[in-house]
Amino acid sequence: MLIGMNITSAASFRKAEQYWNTGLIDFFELLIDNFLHLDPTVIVRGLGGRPVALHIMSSRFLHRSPDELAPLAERLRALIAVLRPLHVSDHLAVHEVKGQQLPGLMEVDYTDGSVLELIAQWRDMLGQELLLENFASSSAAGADQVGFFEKLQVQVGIPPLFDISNAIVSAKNGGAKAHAWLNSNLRLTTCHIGGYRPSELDPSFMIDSHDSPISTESWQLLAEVQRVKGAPATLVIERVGMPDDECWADELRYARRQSMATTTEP
Amino acid sequence: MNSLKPGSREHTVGWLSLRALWHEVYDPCPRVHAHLSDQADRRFEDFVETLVPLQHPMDWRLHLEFGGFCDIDLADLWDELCVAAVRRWVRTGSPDQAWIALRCAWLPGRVLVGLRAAALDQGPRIIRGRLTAPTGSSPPFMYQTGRAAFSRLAPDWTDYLPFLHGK
Repeated sequence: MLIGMNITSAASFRKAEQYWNTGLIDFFELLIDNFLHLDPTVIVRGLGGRPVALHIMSSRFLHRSPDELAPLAERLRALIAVLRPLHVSDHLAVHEVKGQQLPGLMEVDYTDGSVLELIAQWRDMLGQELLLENFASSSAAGADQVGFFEKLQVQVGIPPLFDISNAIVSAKNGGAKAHAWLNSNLRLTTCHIGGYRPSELDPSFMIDSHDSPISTESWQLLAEVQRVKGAPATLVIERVGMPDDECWADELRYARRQSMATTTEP
Repeated sequence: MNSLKPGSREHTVGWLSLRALWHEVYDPCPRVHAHLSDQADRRFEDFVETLVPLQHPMDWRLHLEFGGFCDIDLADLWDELCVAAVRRWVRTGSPDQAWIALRCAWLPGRVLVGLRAAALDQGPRIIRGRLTAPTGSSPPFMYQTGRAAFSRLAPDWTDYLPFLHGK
């Protein structure tokens, strides 16, 4: 299992370089929205040959026409061609309503038949296998998420970018049960894991904030994924704001030990 | 929000969304918040209730709208609002553009340029510059963006007339 770190800024890039130099990570995952304005040669130079994955935040492919998406797709294809990333992933979420940007992402309506078509269209525009991240559901409206991803994998050929902590958050918020992912026919070979915390207003409501230590439940679910589905090929530890460098390093070490455990067990 | 049952999940999500927007507006503008004092929360709520029905995209120009809505007329507060708008564009604007330049009628002769990172290990920057103010009447805001690394401003600007202008 290759261990990676999400890079959203210059500060996190510099931190990733430190972790790379000390052997804590095997690849960099760029939140590519923040670097898409750069010439691909600048990104290639900065990476210096180190393996990379690309994670897209706001393509808004559910909201844009093919003509509107074409320039973005062209730019991403150019990057993909030179970077040859380990994987390319995007968010499956609602970013806006009637042209108005939402303060936070909302979950899609999994019964909306057009969603699968729009996903396939975006994947085809990229010309590349695409993974989609499972959503941190905020309510029982997310109960159908696993079934939707199964349909997506079968009908469109897109597996999930399985965010382990999002699955825990969804379960706590009344969405799909965490083990439903394990009991599915889904390939869970590309994973994220990060911290979450209770909301201010309602402590029973969890937010995938990425600014807290990774929970024991999340680590346990990762262990279950390894046991049931086999070791993921990649795992990215996600952090935003880097409030505690040593905590992040500890989590990377723990993930490394987890990856060693699966390779040594009979 | 008033139509959502307190204690319900929908109410919690709605409250959190509004709270996120409150932080988006005020976190980069502490002087504006201090200037509005005990009216800050009320002004924010009124602002959202007024702007949303007008179908404003709620994008990087949000702070430009907010300053007009609150009748801000102090240059240092407009500087704070414009820097916030430029920073938000750097974070969330068209991903293929490398920079934005913004002019504001309350900051005559000045231009703010927001530069996205020039390399993976370099952060974004804000540059303050001086320009000859346009002659005659000009819109409250003018901006331009560029794909290539910033070297100079183009002669053409895009006018921005706030949705709440004159309201």
